[in-house]
Amino acid sequence: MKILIIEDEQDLLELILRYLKKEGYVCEVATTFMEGYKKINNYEYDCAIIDLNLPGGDGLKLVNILREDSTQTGILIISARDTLDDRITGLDIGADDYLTKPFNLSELNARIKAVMRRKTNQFSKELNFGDLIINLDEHKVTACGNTLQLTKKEYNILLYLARNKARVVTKDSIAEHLWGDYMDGAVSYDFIYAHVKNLRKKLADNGCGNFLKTIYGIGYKFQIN
Amino acid sequence: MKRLKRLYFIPVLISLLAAFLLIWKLAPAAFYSKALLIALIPLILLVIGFRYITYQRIQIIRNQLYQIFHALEEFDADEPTKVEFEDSPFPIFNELNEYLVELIDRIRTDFQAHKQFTQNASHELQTPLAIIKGHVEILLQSPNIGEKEVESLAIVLQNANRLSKINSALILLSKIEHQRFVDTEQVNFVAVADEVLGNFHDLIQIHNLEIRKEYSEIFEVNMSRTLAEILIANLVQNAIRHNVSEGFIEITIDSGSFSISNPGEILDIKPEALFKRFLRKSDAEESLGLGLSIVKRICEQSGLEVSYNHTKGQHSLHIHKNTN
Repeated sequence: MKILIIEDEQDLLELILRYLKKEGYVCEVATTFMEGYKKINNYEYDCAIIDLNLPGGDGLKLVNILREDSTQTGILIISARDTLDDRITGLDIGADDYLTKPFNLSELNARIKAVMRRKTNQFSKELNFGDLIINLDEHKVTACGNTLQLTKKEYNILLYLARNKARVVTKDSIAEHLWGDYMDGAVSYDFIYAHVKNLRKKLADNGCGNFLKTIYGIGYKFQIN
Repeated sequence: MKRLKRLYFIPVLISLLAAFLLIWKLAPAAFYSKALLIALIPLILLVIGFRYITYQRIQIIRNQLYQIFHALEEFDADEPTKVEFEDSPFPIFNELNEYLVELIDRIRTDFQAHKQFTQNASHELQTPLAIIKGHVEILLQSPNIGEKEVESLAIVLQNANRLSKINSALILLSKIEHQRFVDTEQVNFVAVADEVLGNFHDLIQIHNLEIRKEYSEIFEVNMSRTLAEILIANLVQNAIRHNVSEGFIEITIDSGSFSISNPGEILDIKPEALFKRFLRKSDAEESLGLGLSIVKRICEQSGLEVSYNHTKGQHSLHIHKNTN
């Protein structure tokens, strides 16, 4: 899968690039409006990650041009502008998702996968990890053939970890994924701890005990044996 | 002023009359008395003229003072309009005016610089923090990383997270202070409270807290809905954080106020100090110490008043409309 990243902040660009390359995507970058414009016109991408404040122009124009060209490309805006109006304008002119800076890389990764699933058939409707199958259309989880009774939050945590499989996902990024900016500090960590505990028990009861690994002090990892 | 006028005139008139009668009676010849009378007329004119000039001067001084009062009353450090005074015939007033203009300008530039600093500092910190966090995330993924290194990274991450939380709280505070939330509507506190409690449902369950709702009437306030949500979310979060195990949260709403209480030990700090920034008990490390100052700012901005007390082993925060 080919992804275009248009972002002028060099450090952030480098970071996104490293993270996404590990995920196995083919990545191309642009750091200015004109560079982005040329790449959009000359090549085709499965997904574009576009920053709004670019030297040389407004990223929203690129979104507009890209959307007129192709309906198949997934478009994800990343921006420091965080008002509801910005969000609505971004989605109105054809972006598929809008992520406010600063964000966690695991959040970006999960959002790209969600956008691509909606856009194309490249991502199937289920995530299959052998014994454990997550059905994305029905929000159903099957462990060793048994359907699990999960709460909405438990399902969301499991899906988020699974989308970032084999990676360490921080507690902080889980909290933000579930709550936005609503909560802070140890209260949210308690909450995540309790949910993961329940989730793990439900998985273990159905013979899938070792998918979730705790990384002490940091977070969790979804691992496939 | 009217009183002064009478006080001024009556003794003058009486003494003039007395002098006139005295001369009339005592003078031997009509010539002297007539001459004296003629001499008195310019004197009277002089007194009246002098009085008139004094009155005019007082009037000018008074106007000048009112002008200064008015300018100081209207003064808003956030408004860019320049303060100007009319020229005065009295040099002392011109000096005072010059000094005031200078002072006001200085206050204004200081205020703008301060505002700019808070905004820029918070915004400029966001990106470097995100980059630190991102690189820690990447380091954590490398397969041959040891336990000791993970421990260190966990600490780096914790502190970076803390910094970015403080930062977003400060950005929120500065947004409230600079009135970025201007869309107001009639906000029903019952509805907002129920919505927030719904959001915190899991958390309340995990902490085994009982929710007691005492809604007698609807409390409506004309304010920004977003701010109302942030306000109540902060209060509920506080009530969860500073609760006892198996405790409760009681929310009381009537037509004029909103209160939230929870059991907890009495604090050894003054209630008014609670709303200051970065104040916290040492054992509640996870708290940012900004929650209640955000609450206070929102209240001030929305015509509400907030107060705290501790009775019968319960912390209570009350919010009611500002009566002024």
